[in-house]
Amino acid sequence: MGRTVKLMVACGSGIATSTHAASMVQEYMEERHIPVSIMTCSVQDLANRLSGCDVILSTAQVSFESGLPVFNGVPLLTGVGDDELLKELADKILEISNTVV
Amino acid sequence: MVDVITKVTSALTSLGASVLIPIFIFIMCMVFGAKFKKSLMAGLTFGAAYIGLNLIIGLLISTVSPMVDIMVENWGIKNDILDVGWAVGSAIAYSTTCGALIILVSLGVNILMLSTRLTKTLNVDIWNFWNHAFTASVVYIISGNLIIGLIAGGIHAAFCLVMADRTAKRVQAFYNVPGVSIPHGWAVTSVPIIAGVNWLLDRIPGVKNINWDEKHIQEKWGIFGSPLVLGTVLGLILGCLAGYWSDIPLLLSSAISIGAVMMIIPKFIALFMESLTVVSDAAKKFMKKHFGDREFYVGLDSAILIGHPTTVAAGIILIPVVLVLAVILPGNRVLPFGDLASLAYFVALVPCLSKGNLFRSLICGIVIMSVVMLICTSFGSSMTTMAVQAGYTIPDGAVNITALSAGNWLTWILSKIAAIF
Repeated sequence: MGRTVKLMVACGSGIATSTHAASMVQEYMEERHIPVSIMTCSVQDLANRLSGCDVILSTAQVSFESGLPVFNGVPLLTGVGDDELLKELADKILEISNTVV
Repeated sequence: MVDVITKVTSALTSLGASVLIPIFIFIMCMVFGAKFKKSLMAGLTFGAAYIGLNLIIGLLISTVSPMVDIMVENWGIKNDILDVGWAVGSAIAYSTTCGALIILVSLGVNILMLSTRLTKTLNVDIWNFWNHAFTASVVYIISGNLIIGLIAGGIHAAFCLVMADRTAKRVQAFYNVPGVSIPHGWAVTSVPIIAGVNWLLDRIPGVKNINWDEKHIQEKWGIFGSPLVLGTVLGLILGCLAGYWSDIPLLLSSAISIGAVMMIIPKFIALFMESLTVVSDAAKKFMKKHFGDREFYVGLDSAILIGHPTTVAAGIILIPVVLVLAVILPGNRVLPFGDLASLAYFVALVPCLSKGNLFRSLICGIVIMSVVMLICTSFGSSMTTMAVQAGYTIPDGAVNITALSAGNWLTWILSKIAAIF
């Protein structure tokens, strides 16, 4: 088992859709014992909150370059393509988790 | 019949929102087919969120209220209705009798309109039914009739679906979100205002070609996108206006407290969201099972549009603009506070309707916020009454509360119609 990966889930407010997306990700990762720690914030605040983060999942557009992998969270809300997204996200998190720094 | 309804309503209301709504959420989750354990957790989480919100409202009001009192007295500024922000406003709206029933009403309206093909939008954004709940509650307070309140909430829900359909194609193309529409209860009411402003600007020579660029705004001023920083700075400004500059330790500690309030509120409100996520998921599956065989748009929160660079920039620039506007706008009594961190929401649909133009976002923002503040002023003590009726503790003599996001012309018109009856 590698290290715990930090995932920042962002949306317009950091309250509504990000909480929704975060709880879906949490459930999926827990079932598969994937070591992830999830935080939420708003997209306006995102740039200020990235220290220590490994991956971004956002339901709103991320309009700046952070160097971190960014996933589009809208499929989690619509339910179209959500399984594919969760699988991709899980693969990325496992990859980071197992990378020796 | 009406008598029975009134009796049942008052018996249920006497239980208090912290007991009643968890039970109601639990039943609703079970009806929509969620598992027992999840349904129970959803109900209990709502109860916990309610208790938490009561704490945070207390902290917010006890920190800001004394400063506002002194400010109003010293400066003659009439901004004595405190904007507590949409998050707190929505949680209050959901804690009312109308709020408990609105999910069924709004989903009912959606089912009716889908099956009669009056709409193509399947609204799964349960959280933002709070806008309908607020409309229903205001009308209920004014008319004293629960049924009329719920009908008003239903009209608001129907309006959202119609506007979502009408803007769907442009939203999908502009934001690259295929199959999505935005039936958000506030955002939809901004559409006619934006259309009006654009119509006007297109007819002014010179002005119609102005197109500002937002490249460096987020880079330079992005720190104000942080609720913590924004709250602390607002605390300093309020503190100075309240004459705290003669007592520096008090000034600084007030600023830190207000920053903390701004930072903590979203964390507490997220509990409400956690609870409603279960309802939303169950309702989404239920609706898809029954209506999934046809082509429809999935109705989502306008939050998914907020990340557009023009919107982020406008949300930041509008903060000082709205503060100044609040002082100079004739007749305004609202003190913008909580929703200053969410100004981007008010202009979320502007880029898509005006081709991503920052200048237009700002002009629309000024017009929209003026309308919003005057409507909130007109609602006066409605939200305070609503909060007290829902069992929240508002200290006597404290300022009235409102939320800018509740300043909705549709709610205003419906409440005026209700006042006739």
